[in-house]
Amino acid sequence: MLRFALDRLTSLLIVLFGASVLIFLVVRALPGDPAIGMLTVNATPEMIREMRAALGLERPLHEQYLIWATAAMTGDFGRSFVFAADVRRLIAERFPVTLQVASISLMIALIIAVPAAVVAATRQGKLADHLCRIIALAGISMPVFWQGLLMILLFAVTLGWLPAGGHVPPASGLGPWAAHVAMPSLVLGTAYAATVTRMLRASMLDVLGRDHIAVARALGVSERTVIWNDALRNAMIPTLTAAGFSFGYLLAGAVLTEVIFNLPGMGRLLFESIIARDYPLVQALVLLNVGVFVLINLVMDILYAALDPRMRL
Amino acid sequence: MSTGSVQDVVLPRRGFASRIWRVARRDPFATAAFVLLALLLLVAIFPDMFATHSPARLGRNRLAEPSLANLMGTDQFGRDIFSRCVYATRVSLTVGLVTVSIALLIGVPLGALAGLRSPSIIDAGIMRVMDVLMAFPPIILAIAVVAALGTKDIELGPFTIPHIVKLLMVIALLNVPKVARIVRAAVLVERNEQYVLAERAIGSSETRIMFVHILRNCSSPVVVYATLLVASTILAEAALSFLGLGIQPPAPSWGGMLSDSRTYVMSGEWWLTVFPGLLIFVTVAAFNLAGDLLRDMLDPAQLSRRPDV
Repeated sequence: MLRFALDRLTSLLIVLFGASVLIFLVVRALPGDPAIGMLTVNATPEMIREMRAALGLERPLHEQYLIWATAAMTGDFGRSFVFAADVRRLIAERFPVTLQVASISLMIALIIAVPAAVVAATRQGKLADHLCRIIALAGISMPVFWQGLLMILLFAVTLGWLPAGGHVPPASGLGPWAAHVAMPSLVLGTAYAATVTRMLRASMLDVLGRDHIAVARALGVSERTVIWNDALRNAMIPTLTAAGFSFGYLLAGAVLTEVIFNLPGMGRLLFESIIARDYPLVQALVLLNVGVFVLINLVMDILYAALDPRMRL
Repeated sequence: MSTGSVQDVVLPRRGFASRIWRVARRDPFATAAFVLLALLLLVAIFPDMFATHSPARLGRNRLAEPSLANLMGTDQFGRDIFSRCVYATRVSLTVGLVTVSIALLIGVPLGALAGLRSPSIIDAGIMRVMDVLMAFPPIILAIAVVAALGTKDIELGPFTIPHIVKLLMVIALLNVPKVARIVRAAVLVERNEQYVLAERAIGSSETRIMFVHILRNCSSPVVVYATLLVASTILAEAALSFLGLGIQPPAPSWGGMLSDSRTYVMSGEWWLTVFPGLLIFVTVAAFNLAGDLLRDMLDPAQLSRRPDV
């Protein structure tokens, strides 16, 4: 098990390295010269060259990458062009907002998905199953940005119960904080719940039809143990892969929900920085996103191995 | 689980149409989905048969509520929302179907090869590259790549690459690693099943085992995932258009229309928000439902568990 974990850790480092190279290159491919962007319109070619040299853009690409990567490893991501501030400080300001919404969404998703999938799979073809299927289907088919807009129409415009957007930190009162976080979390949480429910139901049905379940039942193992221990454990394996994938959507969904609800989180920061071609900020944010995503996948893989010993081979 | 070959013998052979009918009769929702998809395809192929107005014609009747003249109301330029939605159907369906086909063509062989050769340097090589691509949350990579390539057409010698083709390629490539990973995971599980050992024991070739047995038994998760992908791809295009990076105005797109509607959410012009989103929702739901039906048809193991088929 330890060897397996170390093995996965090594490949995580390889992935992070590959991703950092890719990020570096994609960002360099963004059209426009940041040096020109930082100078006035009537800058001479001489001045542009000097500025490029000052920014380190005149060096060979691999040297530029090494300088950026070494600094990044110490947590130094440079200064944002647009916000004229330390990238670290910008991220530290925005990260808690995204983290709050993401973790509440994740909780909402799991509370809905696991019981729903088990109920649906064990009552296949019955009313409960049909209801679960229809609701989950509606959930995965709902564009998060449309759901967000509809909720604003209902709860903010028509009923006036919740604010249409913005954010207040929990320190300035739990009530206002919850009111601001409620809609974005519900939008993301229900979307994620729907995906997990569908995958889990499908693989529960698959597992319930396998021989070892029939054998367990024939041996007189209680139905409760068969479903919650034997079936659910096996059904979780393909679901974890899917859950890992869709966590990426949760992060991506953060871009959309933060744009819609005007949340000052990392998603909106990333969107703004890409549109503004703010190289250092884009690089740092995408690398951070990738890091979190890869780390989650590592945890998934280790869980995978814990659930199915065959995977350790 | 029973094997594919044994079932060929046990199950009586039936025509494709009669199988569709049998499954459809049992699942009215799925039937509804197929009817809806057929209708959407018709709308996508012959939009002028359905549209009541020209999608680009400006009108004096701006921000008008839905009425008999304008079924879904009009937008801020007085254009008919219903007709714009109709024309946007073609774009969304094209993006969804084409990108997923490309992703399957590349992803399935890659994933199958990795799964069969696991553990080996081939498997490790393929999967690490996939991991690197997978490590980017999809929309974020799409936003970055589209920002890098721009939203205009690219001139390449005598050829012009329209923005929509760039969009198709970007979204397709983003989907490849997901397909490969799903296929590999399914192959990893299947290749340890007893029927594979049995096939090997009777001397079947590796190619036959791969294509006839393992891939067919893996088809259930792949098909389910592919339909999910068509659906999520349509969502992704809508999201990109919503952010202003997808289909460019004045061409009608559901995401673009929703983006325009944001200005009017607070002032109560609800029809700008409700209808384009509803179409995305219905289309995506129809693809997902159709996927469920296909799974029921394609998975012999599931059919055999139901005595009435």
